[in-house]
Formats: sequence, C-alpha cells, structure tokens
Amino acid sequence: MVFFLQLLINGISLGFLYGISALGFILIYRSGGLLNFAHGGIMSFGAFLFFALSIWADWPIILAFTVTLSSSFILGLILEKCFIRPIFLKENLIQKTLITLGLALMLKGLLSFIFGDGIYHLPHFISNAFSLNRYHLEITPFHIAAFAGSIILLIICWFFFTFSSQGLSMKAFAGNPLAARAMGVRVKRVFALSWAISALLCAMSGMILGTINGLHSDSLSAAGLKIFPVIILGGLSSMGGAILGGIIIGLLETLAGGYLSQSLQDITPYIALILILMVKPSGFFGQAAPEKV
Amino acid sequence: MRHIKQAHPKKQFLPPFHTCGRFKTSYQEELNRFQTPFGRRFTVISIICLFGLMPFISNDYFLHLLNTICIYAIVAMGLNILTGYTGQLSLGHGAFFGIGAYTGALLAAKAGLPFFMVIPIAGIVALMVGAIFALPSVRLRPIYLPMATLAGQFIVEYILLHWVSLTGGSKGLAVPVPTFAGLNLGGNLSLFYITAVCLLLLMWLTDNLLRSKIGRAFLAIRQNERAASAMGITVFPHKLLAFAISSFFAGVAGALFAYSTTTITPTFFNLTLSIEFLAVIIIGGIGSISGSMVGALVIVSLNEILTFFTGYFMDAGMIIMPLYEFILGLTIVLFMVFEPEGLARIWRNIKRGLKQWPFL
Repeated sequence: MVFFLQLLINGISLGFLYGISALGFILIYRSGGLLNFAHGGIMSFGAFLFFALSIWADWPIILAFTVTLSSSFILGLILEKCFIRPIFLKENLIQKTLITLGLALMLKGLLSFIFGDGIYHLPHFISNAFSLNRYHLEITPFHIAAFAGSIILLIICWFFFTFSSQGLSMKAFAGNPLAARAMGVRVKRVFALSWAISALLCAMSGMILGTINGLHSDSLSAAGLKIFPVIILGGLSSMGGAILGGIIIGLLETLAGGYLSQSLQDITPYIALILILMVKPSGFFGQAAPEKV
Repeated sequence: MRHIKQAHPKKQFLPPFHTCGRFKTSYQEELNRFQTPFGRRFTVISIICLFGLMPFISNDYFLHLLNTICIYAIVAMGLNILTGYTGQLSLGHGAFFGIGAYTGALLAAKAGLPFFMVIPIAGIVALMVGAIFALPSVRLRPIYLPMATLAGQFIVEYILLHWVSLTGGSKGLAVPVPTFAGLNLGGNLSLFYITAVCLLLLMWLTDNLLRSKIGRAFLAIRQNERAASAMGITVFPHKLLAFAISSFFAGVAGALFAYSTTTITPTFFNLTLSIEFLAVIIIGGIGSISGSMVGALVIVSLNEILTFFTGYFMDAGMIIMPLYEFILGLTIVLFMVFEPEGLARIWRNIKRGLKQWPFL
C-alpha cells in the first residue's frame, strides 16, 4: 500500500510537469496549427542553463532561476522571429513540422556538444526541511516544488488568459484567426508571445524534471517528446485536458515502471498513444473540428 | 464503295528561324517518360557507367560508401512517395528500416534463406509492422501520423533492444554473407551489384507508379484531402497504400543494410536516423525522385567528411555525434526557410537560367 501511494505521488508530480510543458505546446498549436518538436530541446535548454548558472557561475539560486526563466522567454522570441516567422503564413504542415524537428536536433546537438554525455545533478535548491516524510512515504522537496510550481503557474496562466487583454487576444486568435484579425488582434505579437510563454513553461518543467532525474540531454529531449501522448489524451487543443492528460500519462508511466518493469516505463506513454488513437482519437475534450475545403 | 481521297499532306515550309519548343501532337507523346532523346540516352549511359565503370575505378572503401548511398536513396525514395507525393509525414522510418534489417538478418542467419528471398520478405515484414502503427492514425487528419509513427519508432526500438532471445539485445546480431549457387557474394563489389539493381528496380517501379492513376490520387490527396475525396478518390486506402509502399522500401533497404554492415545493433535505428532520412529528402527536394539520390549522396558524404575531420583534428569520438546532429538540424532549418524544395529546385533554376540566357 505504501509502495502504491508512493508511486501515486511520484506519478502525479511527474504528470503535473508533463502537464505544464503540454500547456506550452498547446499554446503554440492553437496559435498556428504547428506541431512543435523542439519542445524537448527548449526543456533541456532551460535545465542546462539553470545548471550552468547555479553551479558553474555559482550564482544564488533565486537569481539563476529568474535569469533562466527570462532567457528562455527570450529564446522563444528568437526562435519564433528567426525560424518560424518566415514560414508563418504558409499552409504547409510538412514544412512547419520539419522546421521544428530541425530546431530540436540543433538544440540537442548544441547542448550535448557543450555539456558532453555525462549525467549532471542540479543543486538541491530547496532545503530538506520542507520535505514531508510520514508513514514511510517519501515526499521530497522536488515533489512539492513540482506540485506548487505547477499550481502557481496554472493560476497565473488562468489569470493571464481570463483578464489580460493580451491573453484574451491570444484566445480570440485561437478561436477564429480571421475574425480576430479583423477585430484588431496583432497576429505577429500573438504568435511571438505564444512561443515565448511556451518556452518559459517548458524551461520551468525542464528545470524541475532535471532536478528529479538528473540532467542528460538525451533523456530530457525524450521527456519533451512524451507530451504527444499527453496532448492527444487531452484532446489536442484543450488546456484543462493537457493537465488532466499529463497526470494520467505520468501515473501510467510511474505505475508501469513500479509494477511491470523499469525499462517499460519509457515507452508506456507511446503504447498509450497508439491505443488512444485506436479507441478515441479526439481525446477527452477534443471535438472534431470542421475543415475548410 | 466510295473512294476516299487521301488528303495528301502538304509539304510544310519551315522558315529558317522557326519557333522554338517541342509541340506534342498526340497523347502518347505526352505520356512518354523521356521527353527528349537526350534524356533517354543520358539514362542509358549513366546506367552503363554505374555498372560497368564505377566498380573498377573505385576502391573497396568507396564501394562501401556507394552501397550506403544506394541504401539511403532507396529509403528516401519510399519516404518521398509518402511525404513528397502524398503529403504525410513519418518519423518512424528509422525503425522500419531497423525492422527490415533485423528480419533480413534473422532470415539469413537462422532460416538460411538466399538473399533474393530475404530482401523482399524483409520489405513485407516492415510493411506489416508499419501498417500496425499507421492504421489508427491514417484515417484521421494528417497531423496525427507523425505522432503515431514517433510512438512506433520508440516501441520498435524498445522491442529490438529487449527481445534478447530473438534479436540478441544490445550485443547485436551477425549477418552471414549472401551466397548464390555456391558463389560467395560477400564483398562490397558484389553487394554493390545487388543494391544497385534493387535501387534501379525500385526507381523504375516508383516512377511508373507515380505516373499512374494511383500516383495522381496521391498528388490529389497532398493538395487537399477533402477535395480529393469529393472527386471520388478513396482517401484512406490511398494514404494507407502510400504508407505501406514507403515502409516496404525502408524494409528492403534495411535488409540490404544488414548485408552491407554484417553486424547490426538496435541503437543504430534511433530517432536521429529517422530524421536523417527526412533530411535526405529535404536536401534533395521533397517530391523529386532524382533529388532523393542527390540527397543521399550529400548526407552520406557529410557523415564521412565529419568523421574524417573529427578524427583528424581532435581525438575525441564523443564530439562527432552532437556536431553531426547540430549540422543536420541546421541544414534542415536552412533548407526549409530558404529553399523548401531543395536542391532539385535549385537545379531546375540553374537549368532554366542556362537555357534562357541571357533572358532571365
């Protein structure tokens, strides 16, 4: 029973992290119909930058954290400006998708070129006094960080998309691009902002994930690809669905790792993806969108 | 019986500066594969050069490279049918290539089948495995296929690595040399003949397929699925067919690759390999069969040049993979931003420029 509860806690905290990065993915998807494969690259960028700033440059944790978040925000803007903007208006799915694949490969290659093949460990930036170890359950500070960080981010996102004019215009653009443009929504800004916020969310989840599992560019890129099962389960464009899907996929993964075999853990989400596509391809909250001919 | 007077064709008067261009006067001419006699002659001469001249002017290492180029070109051709002509994206071709390689290796090593049976069977097995992953997603919007094949890539990689009793796990699997009627066909030279014949055969098939009714249906699906289905094309079977053909090509190439490398390990058939195959068709030109060859040439030589220079300047083997990934990614991104139709388009532009010079 304790083992099961422990797995439950691990799974839900992992699921929250998947959920946040899937949220970033959905922002990009809704603003341009783009599948972003560079997600894992941005996650590992955030994690490695945080590592470099806090260990190699020996900056205080709070400063390193803030600088990482803001620089990943800027990275999102740069990627959008340099690579996505030129092909923004083309209706070619293949071209758009391949460009993000190229970006993913570039980021991964660059990071493994700089940091090599070893596994790094991030500093324990929250003191152990915060851990809750009761009834043989191990709730480390990172689990709490994952929970708390995700919930805080979700609340911020909710406020942003409900009350701020920029968030509302992003929502409007996702709902109906043509009508939104006619009403004066600035398309370029919406697109740039969705990439920037997405990169920020990615970096956040990458940092916490890197702290839990250790930093390795391959494993972080692989974790970035696990958002595809998450978003399909959630329904491809629903934000609440992303979080719910993240939690379910995280739980599935941890339970499979705990009860079946450790090596099966990494491919459980993909088996789930194939099964979801077979049974209910629209996911929880997706609806079959009408397509224009 | 009325006598029909045969209209005597008037002798045409051709002015000394008549209008340029070729004018087709029958539908048969339109259907000709080679529009000019030069094209036919050029093809025949290049095939003779490939088989007669190439093996004798190149050494063993170069022949091995040539084999690798042919193998990459086969996969790229298949991928081009799927991505370039049908407009569907696959991220799992590295895995289907691996399925072909393992099937070929197992059939040759354990069942002892001859190579001319191993190669097509490997293709068919890869086709069936590919269909399992494609079947649920092909019926949906095109956006789902890359995700499903991505899942397929990881699942196949896992199976190859963990089904130790069959595949030998991470230790790899040794492939026996192909034999025919007691002759040993192990060397790079005889393998070159096998791969080149396969390449030409598949090229001929692809070229004719794409000019047939099916090929035109693929093109219609690429342009607009809804419109294609409104015109009476059954979209789902055609998309599945395109996927099946392209995984068949990957499987055939995989079996050839198994013969060519003699030992295969599961880690080779990873996601980067899938993206490498995509890079081949991006560089060569999406939707161009001859572009696939050029792209394969570029990618294989890039790989070799990088290996050479890394060995020359630094004694670090670790550095090459990240560097290669970075350059591959950069190439994909630059081609997609500046020349989405690849070298094929650049070549067309040069040709047109030369033909119409100085009126550009």
